[in-house]
Amino acid sequence: MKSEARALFDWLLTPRQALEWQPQEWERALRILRANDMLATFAGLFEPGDLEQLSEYARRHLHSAVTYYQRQKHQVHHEVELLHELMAGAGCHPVFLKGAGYVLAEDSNHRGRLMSDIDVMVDKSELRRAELALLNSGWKAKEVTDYDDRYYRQWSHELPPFVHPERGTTLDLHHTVLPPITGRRIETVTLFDNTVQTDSGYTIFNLKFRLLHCIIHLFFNEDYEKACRDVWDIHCLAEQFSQPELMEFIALSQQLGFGTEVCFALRLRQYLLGTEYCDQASETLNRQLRGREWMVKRVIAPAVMPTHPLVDTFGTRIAKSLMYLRGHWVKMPLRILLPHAATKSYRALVSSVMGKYHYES
Amino acid sequence: MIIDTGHYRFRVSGAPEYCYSELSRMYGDSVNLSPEKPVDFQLDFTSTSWLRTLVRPQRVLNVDNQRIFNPIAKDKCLPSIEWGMNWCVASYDHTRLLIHSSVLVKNDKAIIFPAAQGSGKSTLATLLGLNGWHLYSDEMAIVDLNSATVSAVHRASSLKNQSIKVVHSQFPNAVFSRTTEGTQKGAIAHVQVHSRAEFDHFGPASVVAVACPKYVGGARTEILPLNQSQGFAQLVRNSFNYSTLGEQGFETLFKLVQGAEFFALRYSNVNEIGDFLETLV
Repeated sequence: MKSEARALFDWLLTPRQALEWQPQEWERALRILRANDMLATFAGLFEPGDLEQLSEYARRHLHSAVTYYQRQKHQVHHEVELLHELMAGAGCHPVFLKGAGYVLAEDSNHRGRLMSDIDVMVDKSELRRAELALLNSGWKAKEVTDYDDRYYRQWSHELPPFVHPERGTTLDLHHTVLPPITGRRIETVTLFDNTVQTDSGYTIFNLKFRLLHCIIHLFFNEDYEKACRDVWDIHCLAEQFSQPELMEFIALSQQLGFGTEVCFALRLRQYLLGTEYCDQASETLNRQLRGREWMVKRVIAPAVMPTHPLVDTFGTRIAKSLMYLRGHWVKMPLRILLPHAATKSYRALVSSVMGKYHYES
Repeated sequence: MIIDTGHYRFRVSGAPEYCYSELSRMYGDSVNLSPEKPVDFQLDFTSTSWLRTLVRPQRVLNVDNQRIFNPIAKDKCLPSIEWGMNWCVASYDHTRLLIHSSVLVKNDKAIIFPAAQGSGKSTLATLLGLNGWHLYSDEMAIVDLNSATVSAVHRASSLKNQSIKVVHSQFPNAVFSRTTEGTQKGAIAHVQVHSRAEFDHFGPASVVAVACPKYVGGARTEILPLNQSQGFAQLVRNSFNYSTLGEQGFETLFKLVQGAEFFALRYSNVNEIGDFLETLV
């Protein structure tokens, strides 16, 4: 792997190195960060005094990204307020997940973090009521094919996304954190037992479950284009644990059947961000990952690299494709995957010959 | 190739050869100006597949890892560069208030023309820009958040369909790009309104009037005064990033409207409109 893509993680760890950057280095870094939705995150890591030392060029781009992020944060607070009221009115108990959860918890990764949608979870028994409440108050279900709608309802952990046409917000309504089709699950009661109330009265996962959910999201996803942000989320959340708490977290994840994913994620953090663990944690990671260490370096790390023509390599593209296939694999049993793959690969073949956009032109 | 438009610097790469010679004619001394300075945005054309390099060649325009428009035939790339530059600014500059509008300046006083596509704002702006006014922008008013003044960008002005002939017949000596037929907006050509040397003298200007133009073929000139809140609403409606800027956006617009008069214009005769606008500056 070329080292350039990895540099993004160094920038996040030691942003002050940018005080020494030449204009061309800034241009390159701004393009890579902006393309991976990490520019406002990067900007948020500077002390105000440091920002003043930067060139007008750098400051202007950072400032622009921060302005955009602040608007989004404002919007998230507003949506959370409205959704909480709406759902409570319908007798539902919403839990705010992922990005919205980080904002409400004020985890350090929420600063500058952009998000494309708001994720809310309700108990499966409340799902229908929550859905109706949304549809009755201006939210629209995003148009999906009947096939996809059935897939969502039967096999997925969330409904097809909702959009609010006036406010331009997208919402994912979950009833659990993992697609049932994967055959892996965390009991609903365990999920709801691990929630906490914020000072303003909203419900989110506790820190351990915020981290666990973040790791599950990374490993049960198929889109690795912007996975570098998930790595930063994992790092910022894990950073809040003391070493004994981290051991408890590993033990908890093993009880719940996600020990492997958690060990992979912690090793990935160590590999990309240079985190050091206590001896006990290191031993556990060594034991859990014996014979599989190569996967961290050869597959997972290249797959979570930032994406940009300036830094993409053959290795990162292959790794992202492998994780893409794996993401589909875990979400579709063979009898569904094979016919599905046959259709898609015919189209892929035509595309590879006639160009990716043959079907559109 | 680097194009320095003042506030924004762009690098264009991978474009078909003819685009570079056209851009050089349009942008003159703004091309490859201060090459040591970084650029704000890069527009990269790539091919869509190896076979497409031989059969019906297609290009796709990317900004970093985003494909921003649908792929287009190789001979239709020129307007996409202009649209790509607009896309970058509208998507990523939240340090200024951006309003979909052309901007004309005379005696350091600016009139902005917020309007949607097809209102004839670009044609009006181009004709007046070639006839004594300073054309600060034919597409976007760039408003400073502190002073609420508008600033100029050095860009070619965009003309569609019949407008190309109209402008060409009145200003046959102006520098026109080649016309690209059959784009999604019809035939497109660009025209250079100011040289870089002229542009370098264009300082920030306060807005004295906001005029919403509507070209109606054969219509008599009608000038309808609007009140401040109608004008404010027009500016909000045509703004790219008013809501992103939140309170700052509101305060900037509030300051801007304090010193301005507001009009709705319905016209077919540009000279009559020009005479009226003269009275405002």
